[in-house]
Amino acid sequence: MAEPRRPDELGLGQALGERFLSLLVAAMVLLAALALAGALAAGALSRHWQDSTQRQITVQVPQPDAKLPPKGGVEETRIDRVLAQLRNTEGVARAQTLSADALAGLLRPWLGEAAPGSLPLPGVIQVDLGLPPPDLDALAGVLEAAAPGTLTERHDLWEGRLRALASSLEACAWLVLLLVLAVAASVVMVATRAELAARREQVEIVHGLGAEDGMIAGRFAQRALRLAGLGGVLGTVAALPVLAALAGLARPFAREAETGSLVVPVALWFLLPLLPVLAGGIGWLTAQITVRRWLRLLP
Amino acid sequence: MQIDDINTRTSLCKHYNMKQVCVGGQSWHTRVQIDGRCMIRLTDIILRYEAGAGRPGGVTVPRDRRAGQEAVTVLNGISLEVPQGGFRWLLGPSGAGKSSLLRLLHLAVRPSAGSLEVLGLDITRARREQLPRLRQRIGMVFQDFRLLPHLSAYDNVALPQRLAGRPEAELRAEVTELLRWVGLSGKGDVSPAALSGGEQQRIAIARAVINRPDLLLADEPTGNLDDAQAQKLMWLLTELNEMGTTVIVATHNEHLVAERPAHVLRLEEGRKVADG
Repeated sequence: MAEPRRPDELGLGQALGERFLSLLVAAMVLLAALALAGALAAGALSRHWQDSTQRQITVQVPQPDAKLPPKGGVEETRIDRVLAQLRNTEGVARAQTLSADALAGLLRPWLGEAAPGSLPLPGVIQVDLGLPPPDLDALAGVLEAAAPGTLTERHDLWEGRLRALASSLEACAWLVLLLVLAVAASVVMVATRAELAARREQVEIVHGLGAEDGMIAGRFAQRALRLAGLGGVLGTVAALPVLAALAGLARPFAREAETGSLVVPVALWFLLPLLPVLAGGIGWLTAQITVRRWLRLLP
Repeated sequence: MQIDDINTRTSLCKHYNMKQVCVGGQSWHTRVQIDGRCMIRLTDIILRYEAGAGRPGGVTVPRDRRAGQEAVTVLNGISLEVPQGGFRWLLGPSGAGKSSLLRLLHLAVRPSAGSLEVLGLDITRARREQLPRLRQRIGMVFQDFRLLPHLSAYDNVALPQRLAGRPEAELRAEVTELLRWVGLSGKGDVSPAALSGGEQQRIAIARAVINRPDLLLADEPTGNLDDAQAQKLMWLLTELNEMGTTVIVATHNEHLVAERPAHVLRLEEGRKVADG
């Protein structure tokens, strides 16, 4: 036969403000979910930028169609010679000339629909590097010798700035997450203290009858666990449409990366369900500490 | 009150596992072997409430004393001993320190100075973790009952047993018996707010004795009872004392003291002025 349910000695079930605490925790968890998503996305962005910048360089060849003096009896344009040089270089996985249309597309934001044909544009070669990559300084010298004026743009120069930007974004997001968790703990602490003040007489009576600190703190902690956990569930559910909307806004980044994981990092789907557990845990621990410290003032 | 002597004795015997002794018509005084050991020893006790310290539990400063900015000494140099199975009347005018002395013995406050020993434990040196177990061996009847208003009469009486870890299935018979003992057998499900002052007082008494305390403290236990109820209550306290429980009763009621002559402790302005 099941043990009859024990009554609520401290009358915590009759406490006011239960909804208020759950709603506050829900708001904190919503913010935590956004901060978590921001931190993971910034981390993914940083890694994506790092990968792509380390693996690519761009070569600009002024007057690409100009003829060069024949070499070995073969007459070549400047861009063909640079392209041939690149393709013969160990560590270059792929070298491809950017088409006129692609070039026009890149310039469109600045030039509008005006035909760029009248402008003296350089030829642009997009180079994918293999592993191990070639010595880029030496390669720049070789290309300059092949077609004077050729400019090798190393994307890794941007890498530091981009990584710093993404890392600072990621750090800010983790900081916000920690701050939100600290605020959530503070909210539970204030609510627990208010409850202790409201239930002071009951706590004193039960304490005087021989209740141990662990039992009294346990009652408060169980209640905080339940309310904070409920708030965590509410906050997590509320975060889902917000995250979906933000993912929609960030979709252009995903296209660029050719992967959806940049917009909604996979890890987020595993971490989101843990937020209610974390909220409940913070509620339980905060209530335990708060009540035990308060009880230490009793003899 | 619906208590008659036979029922009360039988109920008490059951509660204290003495049924066979009662049925056999033997002595009541066999539950605890009274060997005269000292149950309470106070040596030069000073209890001072510091001003301005609004601590939880009213431990350091009771709420009604916080307004003053000076420390208030409520017990000043009290020394006394109470042997196991002793009965003491605690007398004195209002403000003499009777309730403070009972709070001290109930471990609701620690002395500011002096040495306090309760049930063989030196309270001034005891670790805090030792006190809950000790409190479970002390029954206290408060002047204002201090019942939990959100619990039924039954649950209020059962509370000390639950706190002591007694399984629910085992305590029902005992609580029911005690409710019958105090004449409230039909009111177990009633909230304290729906009971009269005298009935609440009896619930408080049942709660105080359910753990078979070694020490029973009562602060003006007859304050809310009419004369007939008060006399019966005192008779019950006497029975408990005769079964081995050390009893200390603070009261203003000189008639009760006259009807039940016993050792008297008299306090005035925080000092002991009579002990004998």
